[in-house]
Amino acid sequence: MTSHERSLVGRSLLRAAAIGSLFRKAVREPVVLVLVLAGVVDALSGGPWSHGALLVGVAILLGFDRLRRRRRARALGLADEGEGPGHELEPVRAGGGVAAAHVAPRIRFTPVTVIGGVLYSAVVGSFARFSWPMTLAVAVPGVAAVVAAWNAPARPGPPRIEPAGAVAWATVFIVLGLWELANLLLQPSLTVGSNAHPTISVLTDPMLASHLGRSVFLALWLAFGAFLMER
Amino acid sequence: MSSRAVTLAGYLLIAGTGVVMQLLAWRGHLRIPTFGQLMSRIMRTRAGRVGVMAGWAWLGLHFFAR
Repeated sequence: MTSHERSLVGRSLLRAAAIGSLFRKAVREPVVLVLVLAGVVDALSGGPWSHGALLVGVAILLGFDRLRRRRRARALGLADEGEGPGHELEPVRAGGGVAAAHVAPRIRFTPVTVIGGVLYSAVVGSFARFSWPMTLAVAVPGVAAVVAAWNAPARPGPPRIEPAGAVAWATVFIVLGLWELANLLLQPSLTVGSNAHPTISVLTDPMLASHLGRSVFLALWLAFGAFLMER
Repeated sequence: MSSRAVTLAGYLLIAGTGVVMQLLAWRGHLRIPTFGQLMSRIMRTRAGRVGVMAGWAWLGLHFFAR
């Protein structure tokens, strides 16, 4: 092998190592990768730029946050900030308790919150889809939830789950995503729905055409959000 | 069977699989976590919490907003 060929092989190996390192970093924070992919697919399928921008913007912020925490961990002499409970470097009291000021509020399913959610759904459901009042009424709780999630400290870790169980759930969601993608690609175009290959959006359009349908869907969306905030 | 029927059957099969898994998890059969336990595990980190809530917000925007 000539020195030029050895140089080429060396450069290829370095390039492969760099790609591998980048891939490992992305896989260690798969949420960032998923958000970027979802944002790109949403934009390509004709969604408003703001929807994809939300996902990609959150991914970028999480990426910067991860870099900041890694630098902080290195400065403190930690090998890696790792994953799992306690890696958030939140202030703690002696004895391990979390400072009261940083305890995240939980949304409880009390009569007040349930009635409030139903009233919200009934009122906002009367707005036309894709109108500015509807956009604001959905965007405000959405952004508030993301901000609340950002500021919430890591909660006590749940028991470790079986890898096989996690893989089973992941398979269901991946298959759902692929099925949806397949139907999206079988449409006449990415922005024109198809009766023969309906996506979830196309299937829900008739339901969301009425006030009642929109209100029911909004109530379910809110309930799902409250369920997630409780995790 | 029409293409639409096949598509709908696919969605129903996937949703049904999820429901069955949730029921089996509740009853303690097999070593499958419930959906809630899975979400708790994912959301124990900032990236998981924020990512999941961003996905939830996107759902609302996708179906209702400009």
